[in-house]
Amino acid sequence: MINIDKIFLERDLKDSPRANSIISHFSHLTPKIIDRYDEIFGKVKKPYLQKRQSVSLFIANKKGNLVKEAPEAYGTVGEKHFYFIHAFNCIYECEYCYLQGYFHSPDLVLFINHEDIIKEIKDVASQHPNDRIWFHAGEFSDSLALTHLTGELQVYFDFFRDNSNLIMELRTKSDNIDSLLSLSPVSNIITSYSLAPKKNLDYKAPTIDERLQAISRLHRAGFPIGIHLDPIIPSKNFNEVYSDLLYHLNEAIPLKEVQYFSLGVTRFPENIYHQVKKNYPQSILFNEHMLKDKNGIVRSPRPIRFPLMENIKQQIFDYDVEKSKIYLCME
Amino acid sequence: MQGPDKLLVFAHRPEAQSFLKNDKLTMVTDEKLNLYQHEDYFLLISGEGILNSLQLVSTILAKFPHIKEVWNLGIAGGLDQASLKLDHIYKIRTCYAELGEEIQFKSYTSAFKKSLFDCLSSTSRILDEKKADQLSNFAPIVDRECWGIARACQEFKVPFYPVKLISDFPIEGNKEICSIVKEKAEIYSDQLYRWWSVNQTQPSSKEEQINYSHFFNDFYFTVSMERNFNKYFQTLLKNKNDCDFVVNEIKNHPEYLEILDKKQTRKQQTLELIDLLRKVITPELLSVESHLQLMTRELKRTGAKVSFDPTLEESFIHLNMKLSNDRDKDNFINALKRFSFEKLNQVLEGKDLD
Ligand code: SF4
Repeated sequence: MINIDKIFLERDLKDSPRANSIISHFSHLTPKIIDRYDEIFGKVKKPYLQKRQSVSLFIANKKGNLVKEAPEAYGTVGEKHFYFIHAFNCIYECEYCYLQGYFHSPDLVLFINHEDIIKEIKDVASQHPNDRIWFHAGEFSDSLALTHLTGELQVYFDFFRDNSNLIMELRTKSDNIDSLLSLSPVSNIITSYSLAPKKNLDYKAPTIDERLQAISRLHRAGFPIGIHLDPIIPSKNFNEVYSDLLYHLNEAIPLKEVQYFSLGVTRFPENIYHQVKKNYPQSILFNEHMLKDKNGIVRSPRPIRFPLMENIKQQIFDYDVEKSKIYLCME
Repeated sequence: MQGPDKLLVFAHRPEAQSFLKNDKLTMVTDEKLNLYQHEDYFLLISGEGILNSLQLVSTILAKFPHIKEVWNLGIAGGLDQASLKLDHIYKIRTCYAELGEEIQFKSYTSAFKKSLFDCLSSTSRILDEKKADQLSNFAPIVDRECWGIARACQEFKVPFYPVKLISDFPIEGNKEICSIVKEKAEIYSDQLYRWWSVNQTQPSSKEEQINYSHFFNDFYFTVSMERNFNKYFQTLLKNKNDCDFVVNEIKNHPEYLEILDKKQTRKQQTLELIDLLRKVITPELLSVESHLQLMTRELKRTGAKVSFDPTLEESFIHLNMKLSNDRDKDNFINALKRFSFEKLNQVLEGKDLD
């Protein structure tokens, strides 16, 4: 678990039971009352790797846009995708994480005005009455890693259970699933796991084996599961490495029963690429040749990455998975 | 003038007195600076303030480019009584600043990356309780110069080691730093001197930049070419783990001799060498390139200059052609008819490259 050195609490939330419940997990710290989290968070550039020692925790209400439209090719093709923001930053540390260049601070921010987020989800849904719309959690944080502290899952489960035309995705690498398992599964809430073969690029996040165990437990309890094979990293024995991963995944959950697979090759916006290089100069991520495309995204050139994704696709098809269940992320 | 390769910076002379006395420093007389010298280090009295320290440290680093590390030793105020102890010495991890009333976004991380304590340099001297409370949101320690020195070090790419002794907690409304320095200056300076004597040797935080271009003496490298070359060479080295192997792999590559034999400028030659390294890292790219060459052979024969999306993302062909008569036009149209976008897409998706 990450070390929290300070808690900042927005004044309006002083008497909030939700905020106080979070604070009660850090009995050794006295929260400091502030007016707004963004008077402090992001005001100075705080090195990302300081998260290895400690970070501050902000408990706040999110103002402004709570639900945002996802970029093209973010999710399954032909459907509308939005993401909602209920936290900034993550307790894990992955070399390829784009958050390291995004907020200029590794401090954690937990937004607890979930009812406002739900209201905005309703507004967005009402603008697209005939569409199947996805709402993704975990764009700026891991969506399960802190749920034992934050306890918001119930709110979202209640809402999505009553709105079966909308889909929620919980993106995660976490095996912190007890809060989730305490709820009844809802068919339109999908827990999706990011998996990549063991490469020592994820520090602190649960290992692949731990994630597979979590997937297996959730699947057995009836929770729908999605899989992100992301980031895909070229390697010499690429075929065997992925064949092995898929074999073990199939043991955790029959691949035919996975709701969808997304495939994505390592990619970075240019500023984040430089940040990753600064933080992890020796990373194997830089063993491959990458090019910057016209949108400023740095990644393996198309003739290199397409065969990799094609290879994995074919391997997944070998498990009788329907073609429509696989999509290529950000392609 | 050469000299020691360490620079110690103090804001005030009283903070430095034990160093000056115990190590019998001599003044560097040809400088119009408060600069002293010992066989192991230079000592600079920078005066108070961020801009002073930034300017003076920059001057010294420009004048003595052989300086390999800079230290800042001095007293500072504590803003967080829960995490700091009076009269204790702390290594500073990240330096923040407030200039005027503005918190500066830019921060500088010192060579003490694993320390838990940050310092905010403030331009205002007197901190009331409210101000101190506000600044404590960003760092638990406050001083008057650290950020300026850190900035100079960053510009000159010299590792920076800031060390602060907590002399007071301004949040309590204690006396100003200056009067405290006067009263207890000797004790503080002794404390800093003892600390320094024990802790002055730090593992170098500066990464050794190895240059591999000397394996390729036939080529001329500008600074940026050398940087690029080393970047690709290191990538190859990570993959193959053996420097001689990598050098031989490049020198035995069929394109290597071609590059050496080709009549072209020396810069162009080196650029082609760098390009060759890129191809060796990702041999699939070589195959893509030769397929694209093959596909455009006919068009090129008609005199057309052909290029593709350099990022290899988009399927387009760019043609530059001068047509002077009907025969030129017919030849060009025929060659263009035979060009296949289906094939181009296949190549760009990495299909059938073998
Ligand atoms: S788990 Fe996801 S959000 Fe957390 S550090 Fe890793 S990549 Fe970033």
